Amino acid sequence: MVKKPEYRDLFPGALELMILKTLSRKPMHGYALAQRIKEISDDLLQIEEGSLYPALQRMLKAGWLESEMGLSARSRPVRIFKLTQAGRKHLEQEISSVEQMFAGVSRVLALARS
Amino acid sequence: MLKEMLTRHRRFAELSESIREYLEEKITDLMERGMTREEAERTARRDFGNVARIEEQSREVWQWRKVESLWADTKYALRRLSKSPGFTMVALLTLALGIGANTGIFTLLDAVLLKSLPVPNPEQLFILKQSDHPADKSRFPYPFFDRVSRQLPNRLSIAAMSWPDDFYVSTAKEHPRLTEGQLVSGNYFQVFETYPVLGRLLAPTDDEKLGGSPVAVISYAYWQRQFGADPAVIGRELDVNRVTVTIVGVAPKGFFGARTGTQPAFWIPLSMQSFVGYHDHYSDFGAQPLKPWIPQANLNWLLLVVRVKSPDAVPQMLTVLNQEYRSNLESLILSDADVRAGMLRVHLTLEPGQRGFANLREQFEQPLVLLMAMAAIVLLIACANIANLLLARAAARQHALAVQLSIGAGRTRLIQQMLAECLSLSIGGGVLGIVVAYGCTTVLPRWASSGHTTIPLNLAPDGRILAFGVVVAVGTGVLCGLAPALQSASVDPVSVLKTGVQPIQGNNPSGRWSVRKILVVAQVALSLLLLVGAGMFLQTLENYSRLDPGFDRDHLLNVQIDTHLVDYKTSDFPPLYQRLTDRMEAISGVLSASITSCSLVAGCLDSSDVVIRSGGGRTIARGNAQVNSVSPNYFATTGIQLFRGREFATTDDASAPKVAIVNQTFVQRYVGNQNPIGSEFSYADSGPSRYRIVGVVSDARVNDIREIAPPIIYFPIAQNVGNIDGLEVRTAADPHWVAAQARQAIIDVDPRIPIVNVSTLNEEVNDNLSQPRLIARLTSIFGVLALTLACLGLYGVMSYTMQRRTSEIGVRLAMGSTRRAVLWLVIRETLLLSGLGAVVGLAMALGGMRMATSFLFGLSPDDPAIITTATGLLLLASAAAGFVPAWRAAHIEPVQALRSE
Repeated sequence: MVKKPEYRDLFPGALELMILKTLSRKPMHGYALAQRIKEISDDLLQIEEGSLYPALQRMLKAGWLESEMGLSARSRPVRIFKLTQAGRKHLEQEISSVEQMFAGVSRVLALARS
Repeated sequence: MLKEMLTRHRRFAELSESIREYLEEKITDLMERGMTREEAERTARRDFGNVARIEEQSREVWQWRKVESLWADTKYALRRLSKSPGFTMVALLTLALGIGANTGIFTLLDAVLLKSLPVPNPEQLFILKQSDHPADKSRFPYPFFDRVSRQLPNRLSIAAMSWPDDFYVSTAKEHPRLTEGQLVSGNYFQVFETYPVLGRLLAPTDDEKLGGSPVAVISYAYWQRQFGADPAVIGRELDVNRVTVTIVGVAPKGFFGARTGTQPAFWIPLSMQSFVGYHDHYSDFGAQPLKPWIPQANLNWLLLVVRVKSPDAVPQMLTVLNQEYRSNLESLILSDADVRAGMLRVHLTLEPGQRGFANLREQFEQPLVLLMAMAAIVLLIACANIANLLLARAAARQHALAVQLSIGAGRTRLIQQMLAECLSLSIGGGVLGIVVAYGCTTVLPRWASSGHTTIPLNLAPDGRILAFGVVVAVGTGVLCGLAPALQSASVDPVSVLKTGVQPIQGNNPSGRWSVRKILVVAQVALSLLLLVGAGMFLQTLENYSRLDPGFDRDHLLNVQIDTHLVDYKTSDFPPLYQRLTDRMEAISGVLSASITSCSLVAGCLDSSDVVIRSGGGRTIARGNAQVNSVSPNYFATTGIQLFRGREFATTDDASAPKVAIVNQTFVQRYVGNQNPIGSEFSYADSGPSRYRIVGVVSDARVNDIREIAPPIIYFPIAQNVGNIDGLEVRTAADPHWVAAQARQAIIDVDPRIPIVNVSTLNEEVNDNLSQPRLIARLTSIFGVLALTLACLGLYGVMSYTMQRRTSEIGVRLAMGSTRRAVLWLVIRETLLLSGLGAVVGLAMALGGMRMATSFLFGLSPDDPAIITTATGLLLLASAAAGFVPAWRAAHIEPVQALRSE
């Protein structure tokens, strides 16, 4: 059985979080988005590029993203994904909950070390 | 949601676009970094992953996933099926027969064995039984019922009813017709918690005075049939056995009381028993059956139904009932000490009455289970057949499947696809099967009923039948589809696409044991089981109809009349007997006629307890014997053989010493090795009169041709004057010719005497055999069906195998093999398959028939002749099935076969 790629290596929702964060700075088309995530995460995330798409569809459905026609860097007409108001709100919530989680984890780790 | 559905099409298009844009961007990017277009495309696709699957996964985000993919698969399956109408027709027809027969037989099983009575809270009903009673486990006297119903805290907790019986009923002066009716206690309907559709039901006050309540409640069906549902029916009169009763109410629709398989048209109060001349179905200890039954504490005739509101109350209820039963016994005067001791051992029990009285269950439970098992076997064979056909289709579709797999279809999805195809077939077959099931439920009860009336059964489809049908249809679909589905999922796309064919595991044409062959072997085995069954049941029927019943059944006519309904005095009878006999014998073509109080094979079962003494007066045995009073020429007329002693003579009249003739079973059981002639017996429970045995006759099967005769005592009717059951008439030619004249003879003697039935003994015997005939017929139909399916299966597998081996056979022929050798090669393989199936089938048949021994007569469950015939038939049929592919193989043109490679 093929393991669902978005759950590989990371906690659930990580891919969504990265997409939201990346798009919050600037609307992008699919390829640019994938490149950007790879760059930022320093190839740390071995994601299958295609797995971006089911995630994008889920987020479109949830109303966090919307898409519109735009131009790529090479002036090709492409679909650009951008964050909606709801998406921004969701991102903030996610970030704070992830931060809480990490804080909790590091406290436990620190405790274990001493 | 709806908007989502509408825009979805556009959304999916955009998704595909977006993915394409992605790849384009990436390719351009890679080419800018110095790759060739080809390299860039390959890298882009590899990094992206499986485009088709990712697209599907992305789409599924928007879908109601399982249902939609199932819907898509079903549409695809239907399209594929419509492309091969021949296959679809055969499969649908097979499944319709299989599923329909199963559902139809289950409907009968449900009606007879499972359905609750159509009354409120049927689970609260119990049937009162007398355990360890020497003679009668289910019937009670009225005084006991009366006492109990006064003792119990709630008067509505116990109801009494007679056995349903036929009465001569007429409305508005038309000719009386035999109509089923029942005597019931006043609280009967209240205990069943039913309410009238019209008027009132009976009330406890209707029990109060003997003959004081000439009223009747009619059934809903009778109201519809006889009175056209006239609302003014209340107050109209009904003539029941020449007594006028007033209709006071109509019972609710579907209500039939507590005996499944009966449908009384009316109910009248118990207090009317002697007035309407109800005189059958009782047992007694020295009672006076000609006087009213209500006051008699030693005459058992009532079935008792108890309603217990909560299960906790059952033990307490039983205690009260048993106490009352004891005191009822105390009030009985039982002259015979043994009988008395036997009666004191009796204790009462309550049996669950939710499904009513068990008579129909006992009669039909085993045959129905047998038929159900056979229908299930046919369905299994049909499943195997369709699985086989589907496997062949799947093999033909290998290439398509390999393509689907290689572009990213999941294997579970392929299994789902195959199952969708089978389920479409089986559900379609199930829907068509409704027609077959309906046919079964109309034809089978008619075949199973004896006589000219059909057993009334409530065959309305209920939830259980619906659930059964759905489960069978879906189960069939899964069963058919599992092997093909698993096989398609195991296709290896690489090798199929590379070579065009693939030696799929389990479908290897050169391999000995593919799944398909195993399925065919199973089919053959199961159909042999059915064939052996059919042979044995046919032989059983044949044995029965050839059986010598101990009387000469050809040229014998039963003329059944009912003298109870005419108010004869005892002194009227002897001249009546004489006139009847004389008038009957005056008909040309009649050789002799004899009076009997118990017609042959017509189901009258009068019996008495007797004490047998040797010639010296010493008691040698006591026991029960059936009794029949006949005129002197009875044995000559019926052809029952006299073994010892003498027949009755005209001198054995009322003034002569009392004599009797007994049958051999009576002698064997009660007299033993002594000379029976001259022994004496008396009734266990009445008077001192003794009867002297003057003759012994053969054990004729006088009750039912399938039953070995019980001990029987014959009395001369002149010494035992009373009501009679009719005449046995010996004719010179076909008795049908004198039937009309025989009826006229009765009318000539006394037009008041109702004629119950005039039929030949051969017809009566045929009625006895309705059940074995039903089983033989159905098993034969199932057997032929199974054999046909198995041959189709064999044909299919062999054709397929030969097609796959075309080139091999071409080589053989090119190398000098003769066509005859090729023909034999194929037939041998077919016979190998069916031979193996036959071996398995024989093992099953030997085991299976042993379980069905109770249905066999005159042969053992391993009868070699039938087993050999069935096996021979099977092998012959399978050789025939293998012949067509063999012929085709033998006529392959080697050059063409090799060229096509």
